[in-house]
Amino acid sequence: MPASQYLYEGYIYVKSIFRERQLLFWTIVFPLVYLSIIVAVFGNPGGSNVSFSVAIQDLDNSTLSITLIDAIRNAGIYRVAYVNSSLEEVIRGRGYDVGLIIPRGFGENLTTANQTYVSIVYVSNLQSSEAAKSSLESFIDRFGSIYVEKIIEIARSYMPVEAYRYAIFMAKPISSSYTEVKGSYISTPEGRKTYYVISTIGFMILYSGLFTSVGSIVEARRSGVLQLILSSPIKGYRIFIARIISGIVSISITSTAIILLGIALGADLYRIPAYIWIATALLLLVGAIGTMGLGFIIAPFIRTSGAATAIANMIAFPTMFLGGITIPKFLLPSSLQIFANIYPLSRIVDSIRNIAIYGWETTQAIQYSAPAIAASIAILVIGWILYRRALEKALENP
Amino acid sequence: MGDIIAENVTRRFGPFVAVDSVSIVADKEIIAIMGPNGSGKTTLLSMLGGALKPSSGKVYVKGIDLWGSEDKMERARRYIGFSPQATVFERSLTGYENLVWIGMARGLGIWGSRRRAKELVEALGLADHANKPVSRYSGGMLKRLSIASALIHDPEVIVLDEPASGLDPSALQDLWSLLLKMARGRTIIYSTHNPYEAERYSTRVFIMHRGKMVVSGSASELIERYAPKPMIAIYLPEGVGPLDLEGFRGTDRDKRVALYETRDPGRDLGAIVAAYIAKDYTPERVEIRRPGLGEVFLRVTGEAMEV
Repeated sequence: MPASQYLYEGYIYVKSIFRERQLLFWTIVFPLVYLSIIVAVFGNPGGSNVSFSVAIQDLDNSTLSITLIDAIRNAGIYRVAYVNSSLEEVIRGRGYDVGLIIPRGFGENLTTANQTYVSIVYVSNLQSSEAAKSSLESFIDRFGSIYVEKIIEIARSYMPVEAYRYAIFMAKPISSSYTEVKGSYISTPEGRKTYYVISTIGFMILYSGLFTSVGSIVEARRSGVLQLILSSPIKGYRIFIARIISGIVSISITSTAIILLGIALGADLYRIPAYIWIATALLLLVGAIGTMGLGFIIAPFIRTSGAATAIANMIAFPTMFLGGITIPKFLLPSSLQIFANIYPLSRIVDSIRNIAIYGWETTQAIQYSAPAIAASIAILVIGWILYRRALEKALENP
Repeated sequence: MGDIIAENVTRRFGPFVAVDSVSIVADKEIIAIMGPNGSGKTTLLSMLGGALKPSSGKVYVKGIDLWGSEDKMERARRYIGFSPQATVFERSLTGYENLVWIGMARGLGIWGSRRRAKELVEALGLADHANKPVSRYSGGMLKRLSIASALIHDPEVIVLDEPASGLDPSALQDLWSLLLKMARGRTIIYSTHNPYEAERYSTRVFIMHRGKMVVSGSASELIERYAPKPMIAIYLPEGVGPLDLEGFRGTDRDKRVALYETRDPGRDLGAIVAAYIAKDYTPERVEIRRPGLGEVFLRVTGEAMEV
């Protein structure tokens, strides 16, 4: 029998995709919108973009208080605003991350060598506010040290050498040196975007794989196509493979669209050598058939189209978040990392990220995903056994 | 040996017996299956078409067990083309594309499917609509497409469940001229509610009732054996009653038509009309009513045909 028996489902899919709006939406439009949003929100590396909003009440309005406020403003990580109303109310209302009150006499105390103080207002147990408070506190300490160093420099010519050395020590007992290193690939915008391209492909494999398989029997039975196929000279395994090929066609179209958009948005996927692309494609193929296999295991037990959609969502939605596919595994609690480690698609997506982003060798990635490959094949085989039984039953009770 | 042999085929749905031990042997002929609604025609044809497994009994196609091993099932189905009662197509695809994918599933290859699909849309008068989505097809067009799908792989046994339903008289004639052309060297088994269709196009007629095959034979044999004798109908003028002549069986249409049963209407017509004229009654119209399969159907099932 010609190979066309394996391709008829794919033919239907390709012919339908630009005619059925719903199919076009889920295959191309939705993943592209999803990737665009993710890249827009998380696409730039964190460090350079972090900033805190600071509400300042300057009750002193002296040269030194203005100097301090200018220094804060020019530090590059604070957005400064003057506030006249109660800072506690402003911070409680979450208008700003942190508040700073510079009291009357601040400048005078500093110039007359009297200890002075500032007041920082923040929200406890609120991560952004706590971080802003620590950052501002360090900044003010550093401002104080620099001020003292300047005073000592001015007084140096009037001081004995030993007193000068001691004063410098008191002003700044520990001095830091800085070494600038280039960040890892993931810390670059390109790396971050590559990460999200791979995650989106993984996410779409999860959804497309489940949706094309879970409802495969009930949909074909409802439309009557199953009866037409079963009365044809075609063996059950060919029906099964035709369905898998259709799913792979769908996932390939989606993945191609995601990759092209990813490149357009700045993911430098073209730097990945061809042999890694091939290895990646094969790994994704295994991930896809494993996911479809899971759907085929469930498909014989589904009685209505609505139930198929509900079950596919019930599996895909939590898996998307908890399986380390869209949210990095290291951000999950350790108990959930166990699931992400054993769920085959998660492991495969993880190994692809490791190749594309963290510079793993292909052999290393294949070794890492070997248990997932074995599990995917086993799931597919179980899926086939149950699917075949369901086809036999469909001949007995169409 | 026949192209298709059904031996004591039975199908149960729970306690309900839809088809009860039916046997058919068909070899290069056209067989009509008639029966009232719920008599088991569709169930029987689904079993002969390879879409529904019998509860018991055997079906052989070209000597191969249709419900045997997977290999046998596949081989036997190469010889069968089945068009189910309900038309099933991918709604967003065109008629031509639907035929192509069905051809691919039946193992014709993509190019073979395209070639055959083109031939069939021409042959079944769908060429002008071949590139329209089937969601825009009328009932008759869908029926023709369904028949084309059964013929796509050029099968030797063609099983059609109510191929004429939804077709206008001209489309019905076109369909049958195609089927009669195709029937040479092939077996066609189809179901119908239309006694005229069964009588005109079939070599044999099977009538089912409550899951059982009650009678079978050629249309003329069945009419001869089961139908009442022909009638001569005399349409009476206003104010004239029927004459009580030999074979008088009563009146119909508000006593305006007198009916006379006769074995040989050609011979008796003249005598009956002459008897009326002798009484100075000139009949408004005279008709010879020959019984057909409809009457046979009524006699053997006790139910009128729903045409």
